[in-house]
Amino acid sequence: MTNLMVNSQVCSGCRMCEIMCTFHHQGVFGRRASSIRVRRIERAGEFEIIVYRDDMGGHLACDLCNGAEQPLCVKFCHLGALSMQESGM
Amino acid sequence: MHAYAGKILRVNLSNGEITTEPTMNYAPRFLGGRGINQCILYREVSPAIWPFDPANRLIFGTGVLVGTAAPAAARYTVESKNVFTGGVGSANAGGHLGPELKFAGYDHVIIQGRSRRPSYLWLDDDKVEIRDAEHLWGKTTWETDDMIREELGDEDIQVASIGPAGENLVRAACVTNNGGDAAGRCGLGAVMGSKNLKAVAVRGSGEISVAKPDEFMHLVEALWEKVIHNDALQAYMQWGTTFIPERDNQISCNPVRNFQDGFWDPEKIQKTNSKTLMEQYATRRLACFGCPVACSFYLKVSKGDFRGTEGKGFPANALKDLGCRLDVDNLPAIIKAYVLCSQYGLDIDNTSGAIAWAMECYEKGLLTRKDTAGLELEWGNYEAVLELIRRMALREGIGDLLAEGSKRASRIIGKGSEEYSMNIKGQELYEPLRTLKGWAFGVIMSPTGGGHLRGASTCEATKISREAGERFYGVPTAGDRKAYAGKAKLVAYFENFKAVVDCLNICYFVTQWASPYLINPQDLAALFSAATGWPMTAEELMQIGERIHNMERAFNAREGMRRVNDLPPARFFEPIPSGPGKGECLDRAKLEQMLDEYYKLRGWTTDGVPTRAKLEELDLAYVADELEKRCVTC
Repeated sequence: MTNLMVNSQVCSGCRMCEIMCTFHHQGVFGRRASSIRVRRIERAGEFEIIVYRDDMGGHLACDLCNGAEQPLCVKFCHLGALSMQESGM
Repeated sequence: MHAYAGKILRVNLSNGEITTEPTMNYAPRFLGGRGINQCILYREVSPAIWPFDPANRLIFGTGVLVGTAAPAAARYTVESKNVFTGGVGSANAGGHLGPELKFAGYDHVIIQGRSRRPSYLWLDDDKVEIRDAEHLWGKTTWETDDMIREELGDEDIQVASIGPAGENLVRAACVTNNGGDAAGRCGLGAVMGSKNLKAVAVRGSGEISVAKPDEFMHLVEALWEKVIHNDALQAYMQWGTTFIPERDNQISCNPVRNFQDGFWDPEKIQKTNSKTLMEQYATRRLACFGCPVACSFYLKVSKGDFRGTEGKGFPANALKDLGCRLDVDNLPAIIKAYVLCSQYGLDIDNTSGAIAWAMECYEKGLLTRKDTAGLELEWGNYEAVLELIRRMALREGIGDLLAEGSKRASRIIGKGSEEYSMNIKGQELYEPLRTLKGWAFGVIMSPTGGGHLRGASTCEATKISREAGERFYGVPTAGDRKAYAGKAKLVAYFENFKAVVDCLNICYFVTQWASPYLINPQDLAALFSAATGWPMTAEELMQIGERIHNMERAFNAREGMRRVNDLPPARFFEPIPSGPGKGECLDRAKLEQMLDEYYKLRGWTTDGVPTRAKLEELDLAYVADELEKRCVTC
């Protein structure tokens, strides 16, 4: 079984994952319903990527784009901060 | 209404009045972003209004594609009367503010009047509040962002702010967001300061819909691939734009010692090049919203005199402005200077222009240690540069003079110092103009007063082939940097194109500006149509671009600008002293010829004023009427 893996060290903070996720859930661009949140820690030049596995505060639970081989957030993260990997590896 | 947020917010800081109007009032003819902003500016800011007059407008605009998944649809644009030139002021910035404004429900925010006390604007979706900023006055842009996020209790609020430079009406002041993104040129931060407006803070929880989601996503996927695999962008993806000074040195195209030379000592280039920067100081690549290029970096200096300096950066401008233009080859000092500018809210091009002028005046004996209160303004003296940045921002001592910009400063001290003010239409110049003829022409013609992000393109620097030049622009010489022929046409093409790009507000870097094979007018028309549901062809889009460019030209003409203002400083007619580009310069007669050709192509008079016929063709009869009424065309 594959799962969504996060490596925030290589994240550039573009937030494309957030809006692609909302697009998957609702067909519009925004951040409120996204299953991913990129925390921007501006004064340190760092990011924290949070994946919501359950519905929380308006964020909808990640369903891996209905089990797609390559969820939209991964597809549009060419720096590799998000990737699909075999779980348990 | 798809793609648009749908409304324009107007805030009168003098009386606290807050109103909205539909974006549709303007969208069909001016699209969005810069187009709508310029339309409003032309209608509402007449020649009787000076830049720091409360009646001047400061207009924030997002863009039709901003907030969507279109590549790099991140930007916001700010328009106002230009504090350097008195003509159009226009600059845009990336980061994350633009999409936030859109998610909050605003395509544009018009700010007018002047608050009696320092204040900031808080836009929390539909809730609009003018809040007290007494406690923020005097703070840096970074402190302002942090304090606003702290007091409003949300780290994810996006803030556009001014630093002390804007408060002090320093003409080089910019509007800054996300710690280092800036709507830089034209003194927009000073206009904001004149309104006693410290910041605009935004939180948006809304969404943007597109008319044809499947079609739109299909286009986005194809363009995303096009961008990440484009040859010309590979260097940007690795080095940002920091590789450019080293590349440009190969044709003596750097602003060395206030453009006295174009070739910088290769040892100095080595000490400050992108490899050194990446290996020693960059900790991470940073991207604007939705951008696969990620041309920015987080920088940390961990040893030496500038240990502890860190911040977001760092474009080619930083190396050219704060490095070779001032002959500073100490990279940590350049980083420090860049960070200081971000914190004080100073545009680096305009700051460097004033400092370079002062250094040349010092070299020529027109300014002495008496004038500088003991500072030795020798080329390369980075301690003096850092101190001048501080004095400029705070208007202390000689900083008060430099805060006026080199043109005004040179008129104040006289003694022939005017010759060393490298300005176009009154604004500091950043771009070398001797070795790339089309680039030079594009920079000179920018209605904002110099600038390479309008009609200047990278066709010459990247040496596109004759075939590509012919195929994409109808200009086989597009990639031949020494050719004058065809460049007027090339510049006009990119001016119209950029106006469209600025209405949709994707980044210029992912478009044809960087490579003919990147996003072109056909791609933009397809994206626009799928997003809005309105049919649109590339030709129609480009005509809207032409309309916007003409409106800006008319604004400048109304302020008295003519052909004589379309010329560069005399220095660029003199040969470059050294390096591979030694001996090259602009030919005055050929430049005049290019102007004739360009005005004719544009349908303007030989003095550079848009004609009634052209304005009517662009559905701008009311502009023609007004120019006649004011005797601009008499």
